[in-house]
Amino acid sequence: MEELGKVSLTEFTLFGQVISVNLTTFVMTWVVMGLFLLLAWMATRKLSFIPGRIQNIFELIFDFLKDITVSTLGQKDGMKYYPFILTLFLFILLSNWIGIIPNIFKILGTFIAVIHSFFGDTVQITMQGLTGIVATVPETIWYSALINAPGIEEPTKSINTDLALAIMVFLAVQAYGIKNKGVVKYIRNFVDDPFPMKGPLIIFFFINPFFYLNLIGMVANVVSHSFRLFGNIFGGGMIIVIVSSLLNYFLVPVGLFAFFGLFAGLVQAFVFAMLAVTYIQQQQ
Amino acid sequence: MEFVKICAVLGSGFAMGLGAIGSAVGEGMIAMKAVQSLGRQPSASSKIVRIMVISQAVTETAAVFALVISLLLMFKSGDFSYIKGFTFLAAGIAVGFGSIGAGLGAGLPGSSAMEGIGKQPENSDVLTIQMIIGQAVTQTSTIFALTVALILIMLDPEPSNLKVFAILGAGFAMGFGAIGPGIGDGLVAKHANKAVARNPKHMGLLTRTMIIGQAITETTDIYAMVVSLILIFVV
Repeated sequence: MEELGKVSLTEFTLFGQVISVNLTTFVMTWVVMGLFLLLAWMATRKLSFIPGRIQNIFELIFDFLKDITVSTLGQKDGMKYYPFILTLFLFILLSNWIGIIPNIFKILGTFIAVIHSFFGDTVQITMQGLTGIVATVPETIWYSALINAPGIEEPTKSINTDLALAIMVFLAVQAYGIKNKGVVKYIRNFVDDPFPMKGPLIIFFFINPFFYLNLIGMVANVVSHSFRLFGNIFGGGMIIVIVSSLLNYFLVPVGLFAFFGLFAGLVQAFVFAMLAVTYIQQQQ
Repeated sequence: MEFVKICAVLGSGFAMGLGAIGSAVGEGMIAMKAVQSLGRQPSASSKIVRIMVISQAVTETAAVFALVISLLLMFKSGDFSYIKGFTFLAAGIAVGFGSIGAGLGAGLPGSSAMEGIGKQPENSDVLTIQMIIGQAVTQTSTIFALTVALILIMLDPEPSNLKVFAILGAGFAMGFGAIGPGIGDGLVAKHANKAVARNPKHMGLLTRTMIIGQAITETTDIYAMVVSLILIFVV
């Protein structure tokens, strides 16, 4: 229980600087992207007028998000930003949902250990409650690596992923603002948003309190956008771990995974995408 | 060591006990309006129940944040200097008081959305989206509280009498500072939802105005966060 909230960091040196990387998140992000490509290939492999099962699901999601994006941003800009919003939604959704896949290697290793325990004393099997099986094996046995394999973790559980996504949205929003309004109007709008300063008075922008308010508001948007996703996914994962272990892994985790994994994951992915649409709309 | 553990469990109790207030009241308001709407439109029951569960899940976020900090503090152990105890206590206070406003506030748009769906079930899609955006922005205050609490938990300051009170002050600043903006944002979102229910065609304009209004309402929350960060790092 003491390891709660700790992340495993791998440190290496590059140009004399020590850089620490969360390797699990790194690998899991690539796994999610691979899964993403695989699903896309499966959905578009046999495109037909009467959609099959996977094509049907994807068309449902695509149409739903397209309707929302186009109705908020207008036909032209909506269609331009729709792929971006859709990618955000699908990536976050897959990232949130990948956590419900159990640690297959550990299950396989424990299974081998249980069979092995019938034939000798090298392996110790202890029961936790009714359903929890813990196998203690010496390091030298070949399947000990399987038992100690790291589990699957949601990439969105790490604040780095969420912050990167939020910064990406932030940059897209600013780019849209500059393109839509022009550089001069964008800067003017940023400097004195609710109360415009007349003509050349703009050079005294630093006495306008709204300049500082807009500046802080920008940072606050990125912080709240990323920490909303992080807090929900990280918190959900932690509640699952603690409540499951307190109840000896008996049946309750299924409901917890359904609520915090599937349902909250879907809602938070949708919230993230919708807020991105709203931030873009603000620059119109 | 013993002292740090005592402070951590006390902070854990503060976080969860106070953090449960807001979300519970908010979710109750949503369910109340859902029941009223069901009485008016029994034919739309599946829609009403589905959207009720979604909005309650979003409202629950504030309590989930409080639970996270509470669990993190509960199982904390190790070799810490005495000042670490005060940071744990301050983290619990920050997130505990900080989730009251957002939980209560997120319930307000949910309740008005349920009311709107009860009156006009065919507008439910537009209203759901508007409701989720309103609730998500309302939660900003509790997200700041969570951020400050996580910083406080990870912090390892130099022990001194001034620092002890600065850290406690940071917890109180963030905690109390987040109550008002949460409820205020919720009020804005509630009436924006009512307006969308009456006039779904103008949703774009209404959402934009709502977000600007909420951003200004949140300013006081940002002041609280800035003050607590100054208390943590500068004083």
